[in-house]
Amino acid sequence: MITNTSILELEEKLHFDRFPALELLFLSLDQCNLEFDLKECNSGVEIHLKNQIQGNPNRGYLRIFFPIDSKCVLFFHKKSLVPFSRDRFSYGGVVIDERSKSRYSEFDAMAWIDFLHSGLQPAKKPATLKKSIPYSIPEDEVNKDD
Amino acid sequence: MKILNPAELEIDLFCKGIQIHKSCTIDRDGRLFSRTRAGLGSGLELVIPGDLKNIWMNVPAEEDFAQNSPYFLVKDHDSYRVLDERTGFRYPVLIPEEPKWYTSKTTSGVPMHRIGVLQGTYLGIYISNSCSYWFNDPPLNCKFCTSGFNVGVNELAQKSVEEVVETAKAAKQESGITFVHFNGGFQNDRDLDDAAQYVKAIKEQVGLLVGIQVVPTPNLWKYDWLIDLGANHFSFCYEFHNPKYFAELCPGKEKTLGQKAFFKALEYTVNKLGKGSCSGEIIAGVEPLEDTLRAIDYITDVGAFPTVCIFRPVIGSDMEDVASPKYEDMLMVMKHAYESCRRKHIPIGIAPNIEVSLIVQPDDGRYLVPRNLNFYINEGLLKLKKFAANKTIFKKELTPHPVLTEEKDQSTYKTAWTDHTVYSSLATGEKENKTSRTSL
Repeated sequence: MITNTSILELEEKLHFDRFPALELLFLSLDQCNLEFDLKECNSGVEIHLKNQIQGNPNRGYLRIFFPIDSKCVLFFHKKSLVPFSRDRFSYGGVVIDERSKSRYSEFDAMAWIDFLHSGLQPAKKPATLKKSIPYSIPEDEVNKDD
Repeated sequence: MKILNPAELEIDLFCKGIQIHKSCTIDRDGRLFSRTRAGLGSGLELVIPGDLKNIWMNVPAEEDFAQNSPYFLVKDHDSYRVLDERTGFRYPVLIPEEPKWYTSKTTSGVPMHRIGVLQGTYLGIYISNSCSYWFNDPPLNCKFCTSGFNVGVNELAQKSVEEVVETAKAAKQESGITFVHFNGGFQNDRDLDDAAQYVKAIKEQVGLLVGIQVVPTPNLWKYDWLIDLGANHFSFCYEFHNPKYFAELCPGKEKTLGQKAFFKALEYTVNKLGKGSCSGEIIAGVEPLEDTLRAIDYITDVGAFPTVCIFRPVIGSDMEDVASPKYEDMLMVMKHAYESCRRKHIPIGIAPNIEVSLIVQPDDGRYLVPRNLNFYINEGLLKLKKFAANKTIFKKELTPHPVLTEEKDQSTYKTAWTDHTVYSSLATGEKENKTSRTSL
């Protein structure tokens, strides 16, 4: 369930009309009744599930951003454990094109959630995941509380 | 629990990783974390001081298992210590400073840390444009590796000779390096051809010992050519001695080369460059222990030295969920590596100022054996060898000098090549699985 931000408030920012796969993703997340943080970023949003993996916080993050108007990128990654480091460890991504709206199904959305929920376990890699993403990944914004 | 000596602490840190306490200011005091090459360098570079030698290591800090480590790096006034929260022991350690040249730029405008990084006290440079195994469908990459994620992301994919020379010069002048290590992924037998230009340029313009770590070539004459261009060392990462593990975890190497190719190239190059010049690289902690011990015996039997990586389930690799090895097992392996070298008179720790942080070096094992008469005799012999090698080999190699061999013309090597190496049964593939060609 959404704990700190309403999907409705973000609907416009995520362009559900042009990228229905994102709507599927959020509907599936809601159906799974998973607790997650949704952080709004300048260039999109970031999802972090709040489950634990073997007693430790889930390290998987999904950054959703729009490198150009017609493309949306789902970037799966982990963040550095080192306090000062802003390194991110890529696990690949999915590039969604506005022109092929029906390419991704609910099944794909569930596979993305399953991967994220597993803490990005290699065995759970979604079939739609590509190793390389042909776009620069926006830097994480520095949290004012840090 | 007893206080660990420097090598024991090194091994335990490789197995358990470290958590970095908020008191630390590594961003100001240490080297940047740089996940390059196969990904092993992603950790924290530190030095464990000791009476026999200082041990350089790269402690896992980013991997999941490090989150549960009992070890914490803490800063106490201006000094760093590794705190073992199980016992309360605090081990003094040094955090090597980030070299100033890391942020210097080459003439072409590239920050030098994107050309090469220090891994311990040597300069490591990845020379190929990623590894071809990653681009197969399905991928044939080694399951423990992440090089396909790193090259082009954390380091520059294409490096010119000029950029490499400028970086190596800066590293020699400012960090006092003596050794540059070129490695690369599978390039369809273009690996050594690609390395040639860099080797010659380093010899002529910088003056460093040069090591090459690429997949073996069946065209063994190429090693003669590289040696004449200035290569001092070849290392062969065959990773697993057990053929089943090799085939399963290194599918690209199995499909394109086979394990035999590694054994043959290792034996050929040792025969050319001499005892203790080349190494066989293996990963400990994945295949059964007896296979790892057998690998060490084989490598030292043929006159090479073993470089043993303690398996690190590198973040993002296919094997990232595999457990890190047990300390007790790795202790046994490293002790065996040192004793095997000593028994077969493999000169270790001879080359000047080469400390490799990614592995437990065979001579780190000096801390793992009793200091009896044999130990001190061996220490004395090694010192003599070191003195002699410095006078005869290293002084020349560390001075820039002209190289007459052509880096673009291999024709004479190809046509006038003969091989007098006496190969082991592993290299020839004979049915009898006899690893020794020399008596133990």
